[in-house]
Amino acid sequence: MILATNKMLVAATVRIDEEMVIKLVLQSLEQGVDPNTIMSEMRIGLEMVLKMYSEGTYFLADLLIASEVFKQVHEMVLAHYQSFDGNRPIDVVFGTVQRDIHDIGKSIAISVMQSIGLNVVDMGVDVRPQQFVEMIQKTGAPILCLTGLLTISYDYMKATIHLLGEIGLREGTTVFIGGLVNDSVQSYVGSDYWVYDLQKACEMCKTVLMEKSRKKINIS
Amino acid sequence: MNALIIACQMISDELNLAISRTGVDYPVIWIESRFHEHPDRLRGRLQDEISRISNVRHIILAFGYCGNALLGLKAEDAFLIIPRVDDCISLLLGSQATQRRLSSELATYCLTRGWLEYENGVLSELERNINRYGQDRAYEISRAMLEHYSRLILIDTGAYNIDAFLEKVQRLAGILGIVYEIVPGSGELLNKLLCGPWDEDFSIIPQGGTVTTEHLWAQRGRSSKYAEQSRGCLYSLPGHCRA
Repeated sequence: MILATNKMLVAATVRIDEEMVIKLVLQSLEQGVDPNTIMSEMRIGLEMVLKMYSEGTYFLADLLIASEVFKQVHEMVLAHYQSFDGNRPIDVVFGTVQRDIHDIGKSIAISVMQSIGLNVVDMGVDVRPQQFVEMIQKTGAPILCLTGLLTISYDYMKATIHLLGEIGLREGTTVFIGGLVNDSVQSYVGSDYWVYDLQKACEMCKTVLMEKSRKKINIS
Repeated sequence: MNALIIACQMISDELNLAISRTGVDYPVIWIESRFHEHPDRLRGRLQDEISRISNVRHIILAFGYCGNALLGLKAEDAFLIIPRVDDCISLLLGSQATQRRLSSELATYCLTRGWLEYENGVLSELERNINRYGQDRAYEISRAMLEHYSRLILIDTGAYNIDAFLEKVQRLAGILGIVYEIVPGSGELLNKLLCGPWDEDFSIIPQGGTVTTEHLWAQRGRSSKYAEQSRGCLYSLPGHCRA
């Protein structure tokens, strides 16, 4: 079944009208709408909110509320379809690096990644390089996402990637950095990619996972 | 004209005080504090201003790196002078080291009158959120935004009446459920920014040069080459300063 209220759901998300979003989602779930369709509409809405924030129309608080609503809808969809598989392998290890505690962008990114089916471990904030590396070792996750807003975070991104190399895990791990990053930061810390756009980040993660699984098939 | 200052409105109280303290007579272009959260837009705004300036030898940028907002700036006909600090809080505390020391003691969110009250200030945003989402939700948002901070510090910069703002900080700390303190500021770095010497605490970008990461990032190790050049040639403005 298609989502009859799709434009309304996007519009309500963009308006950050929590009550209306929940009402429309409940209605859609009752009608048996494909959960992927619901989450896809939610992503379009959230992307528009992000754009309006970057243009200065919305404030950080609005972004937080929109992200909470998004999370809430994702949980409703998961609960309704009971599709969560706790035994799935971890795709992404994600955290704010040592000496930095900014995590609003990280939380939004993780919500969106989860909504497209990525299995993400949230390491929290002020995460030491050793902790990241241990989690990669433990889970075998092919993607590591490091974020930070302070200038000093670049040093800890670099230290984490360096440690990954020392342990011999660098080649098998694709490292993304986010936050206030650019080409210069990427070159300094030695990551594979830097990302600013959430949609692109999700697409790139999916591409990396596909390539890695293809390589695995070729090897075996 | 010898120099011109481009500054963030957020530190206008303190910069105005430093101007009267030092007696410099450079004009100031104030940049709206709402750009604070948007480095790309701030960069565009700054470049627009810089590109319109002519017949000025030095453009002093009273900003921190502000999320790499200064990266890529260029002045065709003037030297750009940039303090090597992560954000403008270091300018108010007198050094990057003081800010890092405070943060290493406890995750600290620093405030001044500007940070509390100006456009996009903590309290002005709180009032807006109360109007839009109601008090309970607005308080929740504030707690979420500053979730990982354990302390508020009101910097006594000497540029505003601290007693008038203490109650506001107490209220905010109460909402957040964290402690607050008053810490004395220092105008030393602002004085140096206005009068020189522009030593290793500053980057000097010559006419036609572009601001790169080497100019911006604070840690000396990243920019030893540039720092050596700076040390070899301590640069200060000709003219007179009272400081």
